[in-house]
Amino acid sequence: MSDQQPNGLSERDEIEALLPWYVTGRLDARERARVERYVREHPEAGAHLALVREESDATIDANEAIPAPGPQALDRLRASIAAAPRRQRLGSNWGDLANRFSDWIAGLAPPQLALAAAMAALLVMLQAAAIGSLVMERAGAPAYQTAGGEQTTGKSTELLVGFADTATIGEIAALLKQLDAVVVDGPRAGLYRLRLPDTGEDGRKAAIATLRQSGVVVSVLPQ
Amino acid sequence: MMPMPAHAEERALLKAIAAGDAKALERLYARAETRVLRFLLRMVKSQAIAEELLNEVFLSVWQNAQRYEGRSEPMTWMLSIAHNKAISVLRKRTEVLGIAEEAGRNLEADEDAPDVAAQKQDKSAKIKACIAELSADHRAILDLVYYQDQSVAEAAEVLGIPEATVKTRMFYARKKLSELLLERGIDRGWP
Repeated sequence: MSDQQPNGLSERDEIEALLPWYVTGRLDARERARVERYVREHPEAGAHLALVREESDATIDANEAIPAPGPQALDRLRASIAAAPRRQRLGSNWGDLANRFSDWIAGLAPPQLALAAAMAALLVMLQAAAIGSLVMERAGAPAYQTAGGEQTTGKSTELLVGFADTATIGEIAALLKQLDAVVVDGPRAGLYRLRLPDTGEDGRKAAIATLRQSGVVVSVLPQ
Repeated sequence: MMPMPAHAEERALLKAIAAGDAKALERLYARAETRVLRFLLRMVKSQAIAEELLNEVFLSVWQNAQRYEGRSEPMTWMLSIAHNKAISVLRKRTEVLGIAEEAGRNLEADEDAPDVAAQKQDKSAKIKACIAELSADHRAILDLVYYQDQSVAEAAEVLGIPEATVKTRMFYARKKLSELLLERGIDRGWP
């Protein structure tokens, strides 16, 4: 980037620099009058306004070709908000570790390979970090914390699950919230221990079915 | 041109968000999600990363709304958050690749190749293709001014640079655009 201060520009270039905002109507009155005076005195500068409009039209077209986010984006945001307090608590250390790891990968391989390997490793690490941030602090064994954060002393049951590499923290958090479940341990051999409210054998089977059909979980092992 | 947002309503929503109103966040999200996503995607050039950052931006809005002091418009404040997050990703991408932004620019251009190749029929398509080849900094300033309708002062806040630098950055972004168009046989007669 070779930015220069305005005093490094000629008067013509200073006016040229203002033209985009003149066209979008976002100049203050003083600068607008300055541009209009210059264009009156230098009619050739008026042709440059057409160039600005071309750029503006192309930029707007390019932006408007990008579709709006799908409805799942809002669901994901809701899940992230639900998980946010826990994520904040453990965030920075995991970020530093991930940075160091990707730097190390980059030092071992050619650039393109390093990018692919580091990104893949980073995704796995970030997912582990994010899931790790959902692990509840194990206080008394009977105590049980829901995804919403409330404490209860009701009976609970546990399952071992493996999350898909492609699962995002938002999807995982949403699934936990749906089941009123919490991660209490992991990963061990790639598996996390979930604790859910004990709603009887039928409830347990239903929870396992929900996990398996979610697309977020690749394996479920009853305890 | 984007219609002017209802600033007052967005300010009220931010105030409600600061007080913990999750429904207000959803309303603000509904108003701003598309503009923020487009800004992010134009910077990072990856749909998956842009959507991830979109989520982070609004999570940050949720967590930091009480810090919004009302000195800028809400959209400018949100674009500023988005810009910081996008720059962080671009910086990390450059660090991992171990190459300068210029080379990254070429990589980004490669990603657009199929789309761009199909559109090289007219001048407008060529301008869009050349804008896509600009550096992230130059593309961002064009987007902020032409699409996001930001003033000099607002663009300065989003980018975290002085107003004078905003003007010169726009000037050199447009100059570079003219050079790229000249390489494709379009002489704009400027600079």
